[in-house]
Amino acid sequence: MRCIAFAFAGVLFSFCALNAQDDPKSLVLAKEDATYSVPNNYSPVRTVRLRFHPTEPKLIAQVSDKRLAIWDLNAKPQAAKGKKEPTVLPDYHAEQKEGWITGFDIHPSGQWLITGGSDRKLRKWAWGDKTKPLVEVDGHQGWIEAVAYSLDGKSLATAGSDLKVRLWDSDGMKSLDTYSAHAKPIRDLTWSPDGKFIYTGGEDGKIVVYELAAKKIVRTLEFGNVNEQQGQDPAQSGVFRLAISPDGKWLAAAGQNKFGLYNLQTGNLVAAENLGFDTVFYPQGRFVIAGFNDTKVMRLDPAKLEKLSLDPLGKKGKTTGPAGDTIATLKRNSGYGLAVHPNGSRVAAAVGESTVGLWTVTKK
Amino acid sequence: MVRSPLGSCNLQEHTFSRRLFLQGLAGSGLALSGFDTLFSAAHAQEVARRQKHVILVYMSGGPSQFETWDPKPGQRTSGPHMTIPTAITSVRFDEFMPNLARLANRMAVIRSMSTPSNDHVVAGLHTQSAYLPSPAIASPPHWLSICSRLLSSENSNGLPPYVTMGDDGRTFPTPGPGFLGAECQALACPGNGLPPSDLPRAGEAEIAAQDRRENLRSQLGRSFNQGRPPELVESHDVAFARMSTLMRRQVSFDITREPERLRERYGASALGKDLLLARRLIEHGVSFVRVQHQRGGAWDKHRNAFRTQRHITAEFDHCVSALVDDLIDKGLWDHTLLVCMGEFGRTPMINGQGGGGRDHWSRSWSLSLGGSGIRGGVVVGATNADGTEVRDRPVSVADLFCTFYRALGINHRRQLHFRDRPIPIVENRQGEPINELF
Repeated sequence: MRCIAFAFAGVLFSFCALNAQDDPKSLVLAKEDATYSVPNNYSPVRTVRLRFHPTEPKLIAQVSDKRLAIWDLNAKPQAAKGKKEPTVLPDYHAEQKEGWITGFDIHPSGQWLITGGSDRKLRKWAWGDKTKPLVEVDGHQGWIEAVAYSLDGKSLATAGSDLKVRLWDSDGMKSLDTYSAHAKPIRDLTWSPDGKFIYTGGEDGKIVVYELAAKKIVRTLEFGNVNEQQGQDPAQSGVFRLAISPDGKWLAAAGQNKFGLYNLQTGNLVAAENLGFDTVFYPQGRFVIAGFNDTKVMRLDPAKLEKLSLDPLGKKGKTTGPAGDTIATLKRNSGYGLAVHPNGSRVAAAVGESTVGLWTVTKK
Repeated sequence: MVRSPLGSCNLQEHTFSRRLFLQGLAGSGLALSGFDTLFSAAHAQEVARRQKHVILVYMSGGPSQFETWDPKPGQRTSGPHMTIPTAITSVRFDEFMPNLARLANRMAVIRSMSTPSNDHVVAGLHTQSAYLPSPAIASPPHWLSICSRLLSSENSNGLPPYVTMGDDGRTFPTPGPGFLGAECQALACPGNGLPPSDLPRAGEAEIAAQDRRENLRSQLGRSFNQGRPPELVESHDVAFARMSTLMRRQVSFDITREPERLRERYGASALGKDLLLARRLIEHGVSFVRVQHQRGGAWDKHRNAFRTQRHITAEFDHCVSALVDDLIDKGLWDHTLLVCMGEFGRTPMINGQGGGGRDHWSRSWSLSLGGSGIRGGVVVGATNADGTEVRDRPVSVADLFCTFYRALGINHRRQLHFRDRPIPIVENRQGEPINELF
């Protein structure tokens, strides 16, 4: 246990040290040769979310399945059925009996995984132990749509299609608080870096800011992009993914063909582009990554952005302004999932429905 | 007040009392011959026959059997949806159907539909006409057009026998009246609980103007009609006459006259409003209603299926369960056949298209029906463990139509005639009714 604590402290220390010392002016991203694929499990399996393991060379994916897929990033690609090129195949973890895993996160120490399922259960797993969860609790009264540890790993928040957000003690998985935040299913959540606020985005097109100390919703931001989910292939409604900048000043939200950047001090929308689905902040400096088929890596200019205030419910799909200079574009070919390694060395993104690509990042 | 042919002053109460009376006769085993002066046996049968109604809730695009009536929890073919118990022991439905699960002992489910076509157009025509479309034969009528020909009620209160709602006809074609002609054509309502489009305001002046126009049309048509097939002329005249009377019956299309509590129960969705309108029309004398659930192939979930399916399934569950409860409360359930179906089901395999979904699958799929004497709580047939094949009691389209017609008191071997040519109401007179449902 002591080793775990030291390791965790080490990760936090190196993280803080990097934050303090490392402020790159630009990034260069080079696509790596290897790809990481999920083979068919009777049906094709698709990626949904990605996370790097913080201390081991492993990439974890929530996929359309009852298990998580975990790739060894040092493994050599091999021939795989249905794949034209050699690829790295995953190991599996955190299997539930029914339904699919619909949200997950890895503890900042890398010691534990948390999964939430469409079966309403929240499960805590020891990293590397596939046999059974350490803890299994009733999570929500609907699908568990998002799971996120706070940056210090002490707390856990979950969001569900039951329109509720729940806070948990991440050690014992005891429920600490519950609040209602949205009128339609919640799709994603994130913590402020200082652990004082939780941000949730939902199909209702709202972003809700909850202050833990006050135990109340302190702000609601408009994202829009709402539809009634009618017809054969309705667009994703509202917010799909949220990300917060390392300094806690900027919030990025992505939905179908819509990306918004918010100034969290003023609540103003400062940038909006036709970029879909995925967004994540680079852990050092001021870089945000967002998009789908063509994913942009953008360098923010805070001085310029702080002066802006756009209409969040402007004409649907209207481009009202970029978040910053595009310094790289990641070519993808559909598929959900985008992640940056906590030390900033690599970016992972789905490059197909069931294939993930990696980019090596050089800071300049 | 419009009086029925039997002289009742109130159609709803009248219908109810006749129903009870006929049930009483059946229950006590009394011979109808003893009541010749009141009712002849033939007359009683005719009255009972006239009272049959149908509401077809068409789930256009093909609903997934895995995410409705035949889930396969824990199997390789299952998606993220969970399952819930129903009022029938050991039978589970999709988690987003809690109300229909509660009503499972009122409705029957067929889990072993097996049909030949995976094409929307072909399967849509087949499952709504009992005929596989063929370039060699004229378009067969919709089965509700056939019902309106065979069960046309004198108690229609001036309303057309057959009404459709929400079918824009742009995505997939819906069978029309075919050789039965305009008389059996459905009156189209646009959906969302709205009355027929472009219906003139029903003031005295407008009605008088419509009557004048109709008289003029009738007079001008006399010479044109001479020498033309009388059945076609009559068919058109009937259609025009219905339009004239329809103007006087607009209140039947006004769902705002329903109690607020009931409107809330059906909900604010287009389907909820349409099903409330369907029930209201049935009460007012319309016999057959086809309601399309959302426009286009809304159940055709190839992409991003499982999350969006939650919404459409929950809406379907909410609205259809409200209809079932309402039909039961109003005493209409026993003579209203409710059918909920699409043209086929969805593949066991989950495809890889954006967000995942299921493709067309006609080999093993499900539907639900109830009312009009159909035994509730019955599950017909079964698929294998992962739903890839029918395991027990395959049901064909012909079997299904034989069942519909039996529930409506129509001889399923019956033939119609088009220019002296006999045309069976079920293709090639195939199929047998599903006896377990009666």
